[in-house]
Amino acid sequence: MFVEQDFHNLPYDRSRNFNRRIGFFPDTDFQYRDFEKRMKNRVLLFSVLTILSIWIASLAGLFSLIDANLGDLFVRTAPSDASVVSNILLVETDADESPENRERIVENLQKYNPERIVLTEPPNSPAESFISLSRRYPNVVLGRSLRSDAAGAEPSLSPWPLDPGTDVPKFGVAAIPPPSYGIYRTQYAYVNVSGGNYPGLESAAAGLVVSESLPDTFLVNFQAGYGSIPRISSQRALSGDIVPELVAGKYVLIGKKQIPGEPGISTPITPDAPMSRLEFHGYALGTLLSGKTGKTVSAAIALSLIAAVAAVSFSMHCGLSAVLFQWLAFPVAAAYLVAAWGFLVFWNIRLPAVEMLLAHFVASAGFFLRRVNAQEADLRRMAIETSSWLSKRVLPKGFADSSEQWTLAASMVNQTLDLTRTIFLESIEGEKRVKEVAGLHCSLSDIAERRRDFTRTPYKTALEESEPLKLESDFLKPIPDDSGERELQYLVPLRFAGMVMGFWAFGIYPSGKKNIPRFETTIAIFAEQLGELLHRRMRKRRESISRSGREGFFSFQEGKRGYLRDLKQSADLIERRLSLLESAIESGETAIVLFDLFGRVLFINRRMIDLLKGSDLAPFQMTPMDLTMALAGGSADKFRELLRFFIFESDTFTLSAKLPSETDRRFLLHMRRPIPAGGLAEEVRTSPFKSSGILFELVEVTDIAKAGEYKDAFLSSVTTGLRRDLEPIVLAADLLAEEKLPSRLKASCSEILKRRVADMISLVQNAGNELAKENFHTLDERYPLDPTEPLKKAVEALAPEVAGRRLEIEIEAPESKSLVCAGPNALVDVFKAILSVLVGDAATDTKIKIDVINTDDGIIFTFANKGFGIPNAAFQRYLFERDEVGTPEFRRLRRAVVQARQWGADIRASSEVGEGMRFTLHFETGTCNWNWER
Amino acid sequence: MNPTERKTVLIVDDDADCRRLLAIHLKLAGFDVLEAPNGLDAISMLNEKKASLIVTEWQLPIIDGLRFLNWLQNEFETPPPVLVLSAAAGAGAEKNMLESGADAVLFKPVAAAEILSAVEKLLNDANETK
Repeated sequence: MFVEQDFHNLPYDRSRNFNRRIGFFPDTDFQYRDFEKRMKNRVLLFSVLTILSIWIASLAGLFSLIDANLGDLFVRTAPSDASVVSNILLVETDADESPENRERIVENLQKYNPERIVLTEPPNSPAESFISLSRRYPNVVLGRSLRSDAAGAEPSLSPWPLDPGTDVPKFGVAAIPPPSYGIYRTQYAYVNVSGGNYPGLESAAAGLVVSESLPDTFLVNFQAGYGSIPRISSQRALSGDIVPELVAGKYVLIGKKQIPGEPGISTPITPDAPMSRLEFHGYALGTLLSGKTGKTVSAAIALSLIAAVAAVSFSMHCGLSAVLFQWLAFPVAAAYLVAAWGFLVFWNIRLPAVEMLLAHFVASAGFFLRRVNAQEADLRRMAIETSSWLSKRVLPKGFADSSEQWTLAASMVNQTLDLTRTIFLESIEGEKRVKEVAGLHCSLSDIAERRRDFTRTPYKTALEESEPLKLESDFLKPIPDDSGERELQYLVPLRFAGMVMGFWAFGIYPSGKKNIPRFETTIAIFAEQLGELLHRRMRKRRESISRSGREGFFSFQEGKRGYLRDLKQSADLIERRLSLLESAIESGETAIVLFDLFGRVLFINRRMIDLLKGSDLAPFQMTPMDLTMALAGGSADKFRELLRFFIFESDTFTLSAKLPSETDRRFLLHMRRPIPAGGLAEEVRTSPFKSSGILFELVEVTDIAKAGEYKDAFLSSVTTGLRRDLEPIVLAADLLAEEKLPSRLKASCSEILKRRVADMISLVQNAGNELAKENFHTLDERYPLDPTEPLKKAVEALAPEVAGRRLEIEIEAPESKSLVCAGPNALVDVFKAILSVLVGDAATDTKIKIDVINTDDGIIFTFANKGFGIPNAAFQRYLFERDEVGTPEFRRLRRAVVQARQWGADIRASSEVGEGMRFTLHFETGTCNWNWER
Repeated sequence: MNPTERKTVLIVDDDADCRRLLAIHLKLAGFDVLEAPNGLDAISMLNEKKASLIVTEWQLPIIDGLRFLNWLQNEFETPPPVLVLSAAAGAGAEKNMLESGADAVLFKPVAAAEILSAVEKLLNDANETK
């Protein structure tokens, strides 16, 4: 059994190495490296393209609106910064406020020492006082508006109400740049009118000097929030009801108040509630005075930022798993947003947030899709290569290629199951019909049903049944020379991986069916194998069609479904092969345990578990050294050195071993390092820890050892025979040398001499013949047989001796006896050996009794006599110990004991002086290692 | 050998040729000879007659050498000397035979002179012991 290990949790490298180690999949190492390289190159190219595209689009202003709206959102959500407008005071006048009133307001305000008074717009009518105000009060700045005389004409400054002459008062252009998508965000620093640069109203009020380095507009800072600038009405200013601190040192802007119902200015902080122009000028002046003008980044910096974002995505793509990458995409985007917000709020820098977000998402999505596509492509390629490799490695070529193989299969199935006839039908791809693959004693024309449509009966019924469908009416045409028995006909669906591959129709006589143990199960096993063979045939045909077509080795016309089907079928094949291999290892005679280099059991088969359990050894609690010591004996130091030598020097090691509880059984303990076929041997030799572990094979060699003993015993017997024949020859020769020996005796000696020489020659010849026999084959022969016949033969062979001793052999046996697993001739010899000893020991005129009893687990033979007997200790020694003494009868009996034990039988014997001897021979069912019926 | 004291030697061997030829040799050497083909007959014979020495094969039918020697040990206070003349010459056989009560062991094939020498030695040793 495989010791459970969760390979799914192994890191990728380990699982790849595992696959390579067991030699099951083609080497994917190079493919993986190639995949990584291709991925990186493509991703880099994609990154560069993404960066440039977004940057160019940004330069083209494609993101202006979204950027502006996002900036407005940042402003609205930013904490209020009242310091921006802390030096500003607004005086709101009516729309029809008279120039005199304005003058009075200015004069009133001057009493409170304002820093500057700004008249944001010229009076509607000519007024000298407007100009003289500026002349009287140097801190007064006059606003002049722009006007266009005709549509499309270049704007010009509105004329002074009265000609000021050469002494031009201090003024600024009271104009506001056009809105961007309806929102006013910027203000003029200076205005170019008719070739001359004039300061904007705020610039003039702030005392800024117009220069080439000054940008023509600036971003107004609205962070103070709507309504944060203090204001007073013109009436209050005229009445003189003014708080001095409100005016002292402040920049006072005088202008029209917003009249409800009139269009105002939409700003980032008042998208829906328009702001008055006066208020806008207030924010703009505050912005200039506080120096907190908004700044945008240059194109180069924007490019750098976009590239940096893409680089971060690329790093994430390379360094993170696909799942983590996916999960982190949104938090990283949020971080970019927060950063953009922070830059605006704290440093008044407007980052290209939209471009950054776009770069992040496009790069992330692109990388993710690229990764998924590449992995899917690789997965598909691996599936194809695995399928291709499987078809070469696992599937025998000939079966799919040649129809002769199918004829052989039909013949084999017929012979094994004793069928009257058989036919294999396969389903036609893309249709619901079947066609013939091969048949024996029948063909497609013998099928009475002509449609061959497997959506109809009887095919449909067979598919619905979970076992072979016995057909009530003739499916195959009746056999003309039917010999009495009525043929039974069956239809069996052949499936593979849940798909209908075809059908198997066959006929069988009832007597034949009776002989098949577990008929339905047996047929199902055959059907499963045939289904797989049909699948291979179909697949091979698809491959050859595909190869001859334009699609290449594998057809993917069916797209993903076809690919998944191939993958599933490959997996099914692998599973089947693994199950087969596992069961082969499980059911093998060799006991196997595989340790990793650190002493953990990776795999152990049932036979090893049984052997070790029988000796109270727990493999899962043992290290390789413990196991070696327990089985091969010896000191820990010796085995430590041995293991070291094994790991670093040698690939294989063989030790003689015994199980602690069964010392009469002999084993060889092979230790080896499992190294995949076709390489790595040198690599493992130079780096021992690359080895997969230590494989222990415990091979039972009791039979071989016993066979050796058998040969030893035989040679000993021949030697003894030669010695026996030589002795009379020597004695006779000595007598012949005696001169005084009577001639009668001399003649007799000569006769003995000749006869014994002839005996010797015969003995030597027989020995030669015996040694030429394939003793191992004879020893190994075993199959289920009825013991009655061998027992009769043994009794008949001993009849003369039995008669000579006036004995009788009495057999008591049931009518029906269990089968025993043995070789027929060897079983006769075993019975003869037992009976010979009993006959030799039996007292004259007694009976030798043979009782045969069927038991639950087999059959027991009991042989007993009434005879002289010998002490039981000596008897046991003669039979079961390595003692050379004893009569030929006992030596034969010892060989019989060895033989019986090789068949798995248990043989016991006892003897008592004056009573006789008794033998019990117990055969268990199932000792042939296959199931057989009684 | 003193002719007035003819010694009787019992030969126990299932090989009739060997038994007969050895008997001739012993008779020529001046011994009386008894012959038995197996241990059982030898026991019957010893129940009726006395033997000065026994020459026996180890591998015998019905009652083998081991059981025969066991019987001798049990039956006689001073059993006659036993020379085992055996064809079974496996490892440890001589030791086993000596431990079972044999006084000397010779493995076939062995010349008549050697057997006679061993027989005389055993008889002399037996006389000295008396």
